[in-house]
Amino acid sequence: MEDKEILHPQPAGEKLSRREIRVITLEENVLGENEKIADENKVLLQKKGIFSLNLISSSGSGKTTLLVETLRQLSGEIACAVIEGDQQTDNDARRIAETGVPVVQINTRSGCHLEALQVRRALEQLPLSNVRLLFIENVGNLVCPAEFELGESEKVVLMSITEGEDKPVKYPLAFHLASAVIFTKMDLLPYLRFDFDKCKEFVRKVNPHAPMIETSAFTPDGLTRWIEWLRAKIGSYESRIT
Amino acid sequence: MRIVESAAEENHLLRVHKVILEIGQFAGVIIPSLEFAFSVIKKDTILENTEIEINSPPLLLSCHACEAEYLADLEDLSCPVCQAEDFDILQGREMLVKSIIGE
Repeated sequence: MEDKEILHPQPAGEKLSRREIRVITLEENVLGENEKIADENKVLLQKKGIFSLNLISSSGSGKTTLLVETLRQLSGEIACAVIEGDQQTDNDARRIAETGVPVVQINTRSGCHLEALQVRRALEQLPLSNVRLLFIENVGNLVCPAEFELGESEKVVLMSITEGEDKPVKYPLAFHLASAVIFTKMDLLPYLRFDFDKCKEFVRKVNPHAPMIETSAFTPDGLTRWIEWLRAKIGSYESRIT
Repeated sequence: MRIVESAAEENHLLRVHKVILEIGQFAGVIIPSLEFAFSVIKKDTILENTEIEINSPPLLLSCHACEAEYLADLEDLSCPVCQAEDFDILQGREMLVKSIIGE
């Protein structure tokens, strides 16, 4: 756009002033500030040797239940910490705290996702020196959490089989970015008209590589594959950083 | 808002006529909602009379299988050359304040 000269009327007796219309190119990332803090979080976690997972899913998929059972099974083996994100209440943090794992609750109030600065502040409250695995349980939402980097090592998406089969293609970015897709509530499959093969096809449309891991928090071996995946991830991460 | 106000100050603009945003199709932004939100939050600020223009560039993907780069839409992300559904997003996640027009 060419600069245009505009003459602006001034109070009587004064000369007309001249200003130009200008186009200022910015190319500035709206989320730039968040990404800068997220990068700093990532460096901090790497320096501490902590592998971190950002758990993303719809509300009600069973994130907290899966997390509580996971922490019980990892107890004594892998030192964990948790950052909980919800709009309101500390209900989820209380459930985590019952496992003995250090946890910080972030209430986003009107926010629908966690942001890097909130995670930074939570990290300052956690005893990171003894932690090998950090779970960040994001606000229940498959849209914005995929956009806002927190500084985590990797993202995983949870999806319960009580949701629609086409969830992966309805929320493609979250599923595309996930290192693993965790199906929850598998014990309910016999009672549902859920086309599991179709759902897996939909996952593959947006993410050809992520392992799809079936879990049930309420059956004896329901977390076996998930725990194995976690152990392998931590082992691989710790090999890379040492 | 902060980006625009800061740029206006740095460039000594007295008025900002227009803000031009670039929002990618994978960005998860509902453009009419953003337009509405801007119309509300700009009141009683230096951007009170500023228009917003939102452009959504084409979704550009890169195929891992055959290395083709192709335009796609959210309804069909597959590669038109080899039909693989294994891609990187080259263009589509942007949320940029592209430029401002002012005086």
